[in-house]
Amino acid sequence: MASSSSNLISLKTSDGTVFKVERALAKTMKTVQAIIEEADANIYMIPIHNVFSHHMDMIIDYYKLSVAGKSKEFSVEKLDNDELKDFLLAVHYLNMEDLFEVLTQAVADRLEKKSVGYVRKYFGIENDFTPEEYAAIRKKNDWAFKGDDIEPEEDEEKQEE
Amino acid sequence: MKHWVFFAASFMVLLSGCCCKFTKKREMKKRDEQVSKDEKQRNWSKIPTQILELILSRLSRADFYRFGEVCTSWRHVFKQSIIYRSPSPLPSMPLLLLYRLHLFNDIKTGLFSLIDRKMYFPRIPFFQGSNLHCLGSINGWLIMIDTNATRLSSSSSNSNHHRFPSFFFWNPIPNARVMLPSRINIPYRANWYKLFSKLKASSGPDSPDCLVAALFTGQHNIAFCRPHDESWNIIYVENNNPNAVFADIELLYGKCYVLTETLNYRNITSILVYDLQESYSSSSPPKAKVLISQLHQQVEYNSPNIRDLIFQNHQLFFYLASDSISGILYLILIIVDYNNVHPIEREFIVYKVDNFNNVPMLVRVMDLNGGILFLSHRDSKIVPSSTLTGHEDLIRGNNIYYAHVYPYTENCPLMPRIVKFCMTSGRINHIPLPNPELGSEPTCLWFNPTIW
Repeated sequence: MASSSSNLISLKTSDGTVFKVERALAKTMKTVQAIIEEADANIYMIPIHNVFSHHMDMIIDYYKLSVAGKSKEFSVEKLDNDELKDFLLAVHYLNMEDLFEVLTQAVADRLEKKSVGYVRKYFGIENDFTPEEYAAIRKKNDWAFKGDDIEPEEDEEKQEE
Repeated sequence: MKHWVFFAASFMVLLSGCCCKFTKKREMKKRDEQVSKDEKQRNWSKIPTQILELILSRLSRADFYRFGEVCTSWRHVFKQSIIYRSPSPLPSMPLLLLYRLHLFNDIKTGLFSLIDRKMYFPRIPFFQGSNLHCLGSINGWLIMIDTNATRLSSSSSNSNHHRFPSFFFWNPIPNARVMLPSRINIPYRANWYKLFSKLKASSGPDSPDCLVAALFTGQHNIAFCRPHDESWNIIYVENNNPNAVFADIELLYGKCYVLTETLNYRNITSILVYDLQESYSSSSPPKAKVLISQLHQQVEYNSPNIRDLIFQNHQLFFYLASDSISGILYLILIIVDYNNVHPIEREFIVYKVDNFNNVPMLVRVMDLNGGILFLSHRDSKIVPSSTLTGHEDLIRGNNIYYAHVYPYTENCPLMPRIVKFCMTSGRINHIPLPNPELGSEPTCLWFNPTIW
């Protein structure tokens, strides 16, 4: 049971794990901060529904690194695209500005210079354009000067059928 | 009795207070659960718009466009950003527009990218027909002349109703045009597109202060205008002074700076200033003020080798450039060696106009305040290196990228050349172009397409 004078805030993730975090870390989560301010001083436990315990682990890692001035060492390379998406959505829900910027940059880095086919394949996105729509878009985007595509255009033949 | 009522009332208040808090908590939990359900169903195509916009803002121009081709929901976010002009993609290096390349008997326009060293040929014909010519560029706009446009002069000062060309700003991506005046009070000529050797604008036409200045080929006059003027205004060389022939122009903060030279020996003589903005507000023609005179002496004083070089089959090229952020006017001297099969740039010397005891003079500088200068015979642009993203070598500040199409000589066919000069190290690197064949009268200029 957390008393009002404690410096730790209890956060309960979607999978039922309770994390006791420093008040300072909780402050970086604007959603949590709003809950604390809205409720009484004696808040017992804050549920964070869209966040899993493995997300909290990474959040705590990031916090520790940034406090030590080493936030540039934080990396999400080991996450696959779906895991990154879930983490991004969790951090978005918690409204954590700095970490959110880091993650959107990570996504932008994964999109950099990749062909449209590659992006669809590795981000699991379905092409919902009609062939005519898509052909019209490709023609319009003449000016993109897309440069080197690292992966060849996939499914392009199928599109223009 | 009273006490009991009071007690009951306060108890009710307390209870309702607790209930309120309790329902609030329940509502919040419900909202969280709903959000949680939604988010679980979201794959990458359905993540919140807000997140997609932030990702978009971190993409380069090419990636930005590809983003809009992935699926309909991403395309929607992409299209909204174009309509609302936000977020914008990361700024990128200008491309070299190589105009009038001759490819398989077809006049084409190519765009060369410094980033991947590739030449691009837009599928949509860039200039349809041979009546469209590009004279300059600024901020994603090309300044064009259409020699086929038939605009009859309604002024009685022209006795013959000749066709005048139309001049306009053109952004090829949204295909937007802003017209410039077509009336220009000069005698009729056959080759309109050769009228101006250089055309500079102070900003894009969407800015209220947009000024356009043009240098006539050979005749050494200047014309200037704003997008909504009725006609161009012309400045003539005063008293036909042979020592004050106009060689180059540059616009900065509403003033037009003119580099003058002597007619015969291409010795630069002075920098003049015409206050165009003041001329508009006072409705009187601009008068020349001498900013710096005896320019050649100042240049030689700073670099004594020049006089020797002139006699060794070298040529000197002078260009004006300005940095609108720092307000600095630069004079660039390029020494080109014609002793070999093809011209070789040997040295770049950069001066800035500085004030010593309130007297403007040339001072040699070894940096551009962190900027990168893109220079060609048609235009000069200084871009702050800090705004660009890309490979370190490419976007390093205090570099000059110089592109030039050297005129045909016996030993050297028409060819464009790009060199990169590093002001810090003094090294000059030639950047090879993928062998284009050139058509008649090719030209090149730096162009940075913007999507709106």
